[in-house]
Amino acid sequence: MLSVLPQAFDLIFTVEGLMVLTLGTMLGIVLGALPGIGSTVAVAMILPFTLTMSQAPAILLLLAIYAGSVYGGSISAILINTPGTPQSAATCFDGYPMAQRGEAGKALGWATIASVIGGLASSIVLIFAAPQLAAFALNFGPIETFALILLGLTCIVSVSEGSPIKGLMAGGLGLFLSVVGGDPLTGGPRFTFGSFQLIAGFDLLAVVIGVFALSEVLIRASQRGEGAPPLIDFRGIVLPRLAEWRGRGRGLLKSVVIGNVIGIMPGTGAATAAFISYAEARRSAPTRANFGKGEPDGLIASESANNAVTGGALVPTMALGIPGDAITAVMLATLTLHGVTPGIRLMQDNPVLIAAIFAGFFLINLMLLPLGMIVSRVAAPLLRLREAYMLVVITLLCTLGVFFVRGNPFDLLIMAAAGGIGFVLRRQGYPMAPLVIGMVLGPTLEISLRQGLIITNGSFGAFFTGHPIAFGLILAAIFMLLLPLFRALRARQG
Amino acid sequence: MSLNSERAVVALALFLLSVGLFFSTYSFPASDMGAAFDPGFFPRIVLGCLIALAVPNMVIDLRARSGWDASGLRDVLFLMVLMLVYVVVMPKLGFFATSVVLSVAFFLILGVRSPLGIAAVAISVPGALVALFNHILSMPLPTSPLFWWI
Amino acid sequence: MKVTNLTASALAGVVLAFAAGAEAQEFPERPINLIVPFNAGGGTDLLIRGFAPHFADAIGGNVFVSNTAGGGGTVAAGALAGQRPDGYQLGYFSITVSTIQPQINDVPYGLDSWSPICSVAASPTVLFTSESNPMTTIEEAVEAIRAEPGRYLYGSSGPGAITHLTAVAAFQGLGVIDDVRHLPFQGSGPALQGIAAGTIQFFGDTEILMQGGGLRPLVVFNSERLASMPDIPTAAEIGIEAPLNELYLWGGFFAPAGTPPEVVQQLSDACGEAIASEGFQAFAEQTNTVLAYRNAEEFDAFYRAQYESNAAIIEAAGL
Repeated sequence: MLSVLPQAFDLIFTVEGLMVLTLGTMLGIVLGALPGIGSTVAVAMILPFTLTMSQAPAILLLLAIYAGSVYGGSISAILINTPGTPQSAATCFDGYPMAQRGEAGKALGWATIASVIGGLASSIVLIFAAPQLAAFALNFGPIETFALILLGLTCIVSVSEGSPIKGLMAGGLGLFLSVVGGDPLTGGPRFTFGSFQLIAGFDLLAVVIGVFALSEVLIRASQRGEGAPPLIDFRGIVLPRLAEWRGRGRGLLKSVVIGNVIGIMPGTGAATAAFISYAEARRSAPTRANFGKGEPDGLIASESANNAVTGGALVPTMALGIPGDAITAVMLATLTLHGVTPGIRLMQDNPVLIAAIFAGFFLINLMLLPLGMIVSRVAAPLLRLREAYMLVVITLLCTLGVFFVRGNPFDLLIMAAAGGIGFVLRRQGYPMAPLVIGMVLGPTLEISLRQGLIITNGSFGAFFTGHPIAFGLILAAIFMLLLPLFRALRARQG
Repeated sequence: MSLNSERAVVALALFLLSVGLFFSTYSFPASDMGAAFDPGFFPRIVLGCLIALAVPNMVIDLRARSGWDASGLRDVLFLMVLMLVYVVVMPKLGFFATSVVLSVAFFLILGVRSPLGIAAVAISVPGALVALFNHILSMPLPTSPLFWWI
Repeated sequence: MKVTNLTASALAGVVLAFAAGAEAQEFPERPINLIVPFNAGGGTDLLIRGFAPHFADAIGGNVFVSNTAGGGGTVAAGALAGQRPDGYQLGYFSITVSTIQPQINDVPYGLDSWSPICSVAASPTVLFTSESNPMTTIEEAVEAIRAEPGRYLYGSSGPGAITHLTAVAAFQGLGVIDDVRHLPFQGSGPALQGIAAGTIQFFGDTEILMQGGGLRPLVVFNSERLASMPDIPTAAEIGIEAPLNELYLWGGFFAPAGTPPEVVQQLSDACGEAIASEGFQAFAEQTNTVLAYRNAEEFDAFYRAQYESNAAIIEAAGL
């Protein structure tokens, strides 16, 4: 890999290459920041433009959009409590409270640095260990995936302290929403009550945007005139000082590792990584008492993990030719279109191109910092619009974003309904974060559990024998579930 | 214990919903290939857990005395109805026209009275979005039946 | 579909719209919408986005691609089925969307909802196993399955998908369907990971997937052996009987039923011209797409015949 780097740099450091990297990253940040235009939609929008480019710039453009949009999602999560992409949902938990305190610039500063570090670390992993990691990922069958997702679900407990029952109920509702529609194994309809539209199920982003963004619009409208807090005061990114990093290094490292490992697993993705990383930080960070009230450690956990996934997700794509998600699938298709055969020989056959892709990915992550600062500086005045104007703009953007996900008008109805129901539930103290976690993890949890049972011929006990990784993960999940109980008991004794 | 607050009503509704959905899983087509192939298998686990949580939740909320608080709800109701109408007619009448109407109505409900501000935002934002997506990016939003470009 | 082009045509459209009614315009007088029934970025999406500019040249108007995803393509088809049959909206539907789904699910369209326009692509399917598996031929595979009934698993990208039907056609045709078990995945990516990891032993899809390496073909569902794998027998050669012996992942354009015949004819001709164009031929070669043009009449007959014959596979799959 290192010996071909000079040739790879020749591919990147051209006028076209550098333009693609800069403009692509910037565009990715902007698209990611718009609620609803997730990474997949952003990449698909750009795809037609790559058809006329040569190999390396085409792939680099897609990578730039991908990495930029994952980071951009955190901007709207922090400033308007609307995750631009599902993977930024965990960023809202601490990012928005910080912004409400008047520390929006600082929150974005933490998120930016965490994203950059997460992305850089994952590109280093990609450069040095892609083949080895891809081989390791094959140890993760359905049973291990089930155990991993179970562990991810325990973060529902940690994000709903204060009202654990209502948090768990919201999580259960999220899991329920994920099973509506065609059964993934038999295709038969479930809870569709004769509606053809419901066979396709509830779209995740339509529900997320409804319960986060639209219900926020309704809540703000209902509080109008009684000294409602002004919208966020934001004048640009404020980077954290070095001294403020003291004591946060270990958490950051842990989140980066979590992000990379989960990125490599097929069918899990950045949202799962962010949730698991957040839950782990909330369990172990020295500042855990402040989580959910605007604690930078929470932001760091979520943002470094979801950006670390981007590199991890490329591992099986590049090393095995197997795409882990929709975005990496688009990249593989683009490679094919440019005459490069994806597969297990991809890295051996095209070492220069792959080195250029990996090195370009490193550069993209490096550029997130300056470009992120520019984009948010430009966007800042928009956020100082009168609240009523902001609410209208947010509503229109939500509609647009939801429409673009599947192009299905029915999803708009779901978004509006989710907004109304989210409003009612939030007023009564049901947190919405667990609902989203349940909905994100539900499909993978169900299919991996049922696949596991098919493999073991219906024996759940066989999940524990002969699957040491799964056994360890399930034990960890049980431990995480019982942790609040232990802590409460110890507090009572002490 | 009594149904004397909004919170209690919501808790009761969630309980009834979970129970109703739980029993509706028994109407799914059953599978003869074992539990893993049964469409109701996983939903029953989820809904069983929900019922188990809904019971204590209901008991707590029925005992609490939080009362009713209807302030600001009238505006929310208007906005909700407006939003529902909007998402139903938007795909048929096009993004631009319906969004302009929605924006103006939103402003009136939210108490904005500046005609210039209303006009500026209500026309320029949907207009810019249509220009960008329909005409520059070729990712069309729904258009009106009368004019295909808007 | 350049920006300048679009802006110019938008302006032209403004002028035309005001002039409308004054004189009848020829088809097409506004952009034609090609509907991809899946998310942007998939294989089908890529194919149609590559096809669109050539189709636009051939029809002499503007063409744009939109995506409506969900329900394995049925949401888009269900929405299109009720639209005005004016030829301005064409859906690109595969074998599963147009002939399988209406027979296994309660969808708001059926055999007679369409005016078929043209078929574009048709790739034969192949059943394969992992190179790390000891079985090297389909006969050895059948032997191994018979020796240990219930041990082997075949994967699919979902119930009713072409990947599912390929495996079912093979094992039903060979009489061992009850001795292998089905493990559905969510999409081909996870299923390929499953075959690489040894979770599943068999998987069926088009030849394109083979390029990735690590896979060993066992049988092809084509009328003759494939040039790229001359040693691999066809399904008919190993005794799989019709209608299970040939299975193609085909796709083509459909307009809502009742589209005027002259418009259908015009679209069908333009479609043929676009497929024959040098640019699209080169595109197809790069993406390993097997092109198979049928005009409106041929495609209509083909589609109806497929609808009938696929009923056998559906029954074997227990869907």
